[in-house]
Amino acid sequence: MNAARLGALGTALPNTRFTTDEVLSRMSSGGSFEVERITGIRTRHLVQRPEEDTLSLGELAARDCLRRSNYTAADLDVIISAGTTVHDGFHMVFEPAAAHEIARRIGADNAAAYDVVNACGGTMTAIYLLENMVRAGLVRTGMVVTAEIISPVTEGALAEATDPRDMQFPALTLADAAVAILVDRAVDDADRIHYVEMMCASEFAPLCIAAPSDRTENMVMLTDNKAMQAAPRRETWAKLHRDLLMKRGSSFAEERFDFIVFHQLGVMFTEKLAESGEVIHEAPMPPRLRTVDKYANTGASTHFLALRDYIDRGEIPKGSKICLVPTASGMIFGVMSATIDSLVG
Amino acid sequence: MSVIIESTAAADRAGQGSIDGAISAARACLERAGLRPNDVDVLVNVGVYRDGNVVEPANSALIQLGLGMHPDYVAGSGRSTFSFDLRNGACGVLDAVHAATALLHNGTAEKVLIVGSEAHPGGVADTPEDFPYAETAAALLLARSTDPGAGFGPVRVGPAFGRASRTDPGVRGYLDLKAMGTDGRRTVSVDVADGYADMLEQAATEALTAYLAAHPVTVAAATLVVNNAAPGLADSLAAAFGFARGVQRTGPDAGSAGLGLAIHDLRERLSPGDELVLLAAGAGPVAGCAHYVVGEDGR
Repeated sequence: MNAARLGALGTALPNTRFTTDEVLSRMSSGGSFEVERITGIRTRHLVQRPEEDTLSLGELAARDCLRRSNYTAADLDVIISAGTTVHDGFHMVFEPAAAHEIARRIGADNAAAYDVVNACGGTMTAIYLLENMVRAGLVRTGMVVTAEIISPVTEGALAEATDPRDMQFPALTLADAAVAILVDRAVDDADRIHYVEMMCASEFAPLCIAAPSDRTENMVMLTDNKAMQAAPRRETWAKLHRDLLMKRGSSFAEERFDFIVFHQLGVMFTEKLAESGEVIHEAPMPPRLRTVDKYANTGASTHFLALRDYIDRGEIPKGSKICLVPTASGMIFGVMSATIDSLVG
Repeated sequence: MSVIIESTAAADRAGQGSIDGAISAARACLERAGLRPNDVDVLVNVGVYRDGNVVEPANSALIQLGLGMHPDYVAGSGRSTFSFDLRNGACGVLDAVHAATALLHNGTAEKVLIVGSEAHPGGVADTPEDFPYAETAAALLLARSTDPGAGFGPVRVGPAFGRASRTDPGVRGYLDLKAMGTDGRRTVSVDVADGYADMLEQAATEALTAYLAAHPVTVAAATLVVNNAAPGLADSLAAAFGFARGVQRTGPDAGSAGLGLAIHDLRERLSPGDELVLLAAGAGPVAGCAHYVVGEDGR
């Protein structure tokens, strides 16, 4: 039986950084929002289209990832692009798959390529697939490239959101970033993915919808934040994880995680997820990674952007055992457990 | 262990949209297999175009919702459905089969349902004459089999033309955010390159040549099953490679549902031991193949 590991992690940020005040100063709707006070977001990076898009940021992150690995682009068996949307300049693209152009630009001449779309759960969905394909022996080396360009819906909110309880408030917390994660065969238990479990509670799919607006010339995202973040939804990841661990004859406490990484949605939200985790798992939560203040909510790239930030600051030693918890529109819930070594570099 | 297609279905009623089309095909596919929606562990949607250009959540979540498939996680149940969109034009279905093979092999899933559907984002009323895709949907249910001779051989979906830079993708489907105005929910552009049919045939020929070189198949006894991205593609390729016959749907391009529909149309006429080579070609350009042997039970 093969096991997979997280072999390397690359990232790419848009060139321009904005403060929350700078973003909100462009509000043309007449609305007024306390984004920084409520979420803790101070700065964020936003793409300047058409120069920066899914393809350019995806290429940069993929190259960064390869540089940090022992592979060349030609070694890749598969590339999965996993952002919520694909932007080529001002075109939002449905076909061809973005992964083909990213593969072409980095010279991944031997790689199969396709896109996975699962809102903010895209990256973990692609890792779930790669982990399974490596474990089944169908793939040796694959890369997930998530260039998440979600600021177009922020533009929509700046043009349309007025009420403090507006369903477009969450769109004001978004930012752009790309991550690329190499998944290959594990050599030993000291550097491997232990498990990935994913599910969709589709009853809550209508709670967050992103689509073109019929009021202004923008993309918009309408989110029922209250329902999405209600207690039962905050507990789902933990219940799923608890049941999985029970099947494996283990418990959260016995797993001895060094760090836990939640979706960077706002400081309050991650703490509430952690609180629910403590209740369901009947165990204290390990230290949380927190980068929402400097990067905002970067959708499907958020977990690994946070990880890169902490690794670069020397906060995550080799051999750390991490628990990643995706929560996304759909609603997607999941958990991944991994001990990371090569990824730390 | 082998992976087989347990059942197939098609939904051809225009006017349903991509979500409801996929739901109809999925429901029929499960009924034919004698299964309930909750029996599906993983649902993969390979459809490309989206009703109203809704980009979040994934179409798969809305399809799962429509099927009433594990709508919420029941604590302690250990059962749920995971769903996601996999997007690679007409070839997405083969990528989904490849991924499903891994999930079934590992025991991550017992049943994987793959749906593909296309419809113009604006529905029938807003579909322009030059929208190249038929409104249609197909579903394939994949499962493990104990019949060692049955099921899928290797699945290979390769890049066409060695990933040369500036390769024309053949088809570009997009929403122009600068030009959409307030009609973004009802509009989409699909640019098809001049000579697209020739480009597809070339990509398909390259993929088939590479596949048969690596995985010998008795082509003279096998059926080539192809998506209907270009008229006559199956006949032309079958003749060039010496297959017993080539089959595809007639009519407008069924996009991501094309290969599934061709398989579905053929299902009733298959006998144990029949050999198929499944081929899909589409935007990228990209083409891929998979060998399939019909098992003792006719599946």
